[in-house]
Amino acid sequence: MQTQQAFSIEVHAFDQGRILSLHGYLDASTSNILDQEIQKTLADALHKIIIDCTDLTYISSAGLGIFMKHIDAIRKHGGDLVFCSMQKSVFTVFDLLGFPILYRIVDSKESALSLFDVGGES
Amino acid sequence: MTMLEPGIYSASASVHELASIRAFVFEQLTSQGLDSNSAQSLSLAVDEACSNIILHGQDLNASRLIIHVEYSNGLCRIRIKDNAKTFDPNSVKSPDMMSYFKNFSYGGLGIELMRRIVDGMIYEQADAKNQWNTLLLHKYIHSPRN
Repeated sequence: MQTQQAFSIEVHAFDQGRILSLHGYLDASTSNILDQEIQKTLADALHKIIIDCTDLTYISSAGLGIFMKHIDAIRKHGGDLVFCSMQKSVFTVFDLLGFPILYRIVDSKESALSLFDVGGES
Repeated sequence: MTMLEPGIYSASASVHELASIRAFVFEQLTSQGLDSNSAQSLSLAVDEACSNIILHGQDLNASRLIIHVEYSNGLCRIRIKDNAKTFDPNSVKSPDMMSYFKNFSYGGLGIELMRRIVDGMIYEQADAKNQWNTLLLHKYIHSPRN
């Protein structure tokens, strides 16, 4: 296993929401990047957030903590965090602590969008 | 980060070292015959242990981490030595995850993840004879090679 590309986020808009596509690894050295992007999204009064995990290769508790930090405020504003396209190794970490009870985790971006009653990206 | 001898790494206590530490642990375990899924989980446990020392150890003045990885006869032993002030992860109580979710708590899950991955954690604090605190993580795995 070589040291992977660190971490970056691609942002796409959909009606009243944003898709954050995560690339690379989410650990204590990169989780602040995600924190800032979610804060920016909430500051723009967008509370429907899809976390596209297609290219997320690794997550530690530092990454899980960022989602937990914001989920209460997001749901209080009628929004949600929906996760899609998670690699098995990343899902294993969510599952180890029981996070699938708290979050909706779906197979594809399309399924995530349909949970927000939205057909596609704008 | 420096490899001192096969199976031993020395890293500065910085979050920017975590990716290299994980890569080292993964490579060591798989080259000693452990399957990649188990090696990945154990790399996560080491990441959590080191993150804990680095972040919560900011007041503890950690400057160096030394990691020793060994897998043989179905037993994986990982030693993490640090020169921070004493902090035994066994002193942290397990959270009740249902109330954790209900209260939208955050933080403090690293040690719980470690506990769920390994079979045991033994902590030995530094003393007059030995300047290093040592955390020994062990796990029994009879692993078919991938």
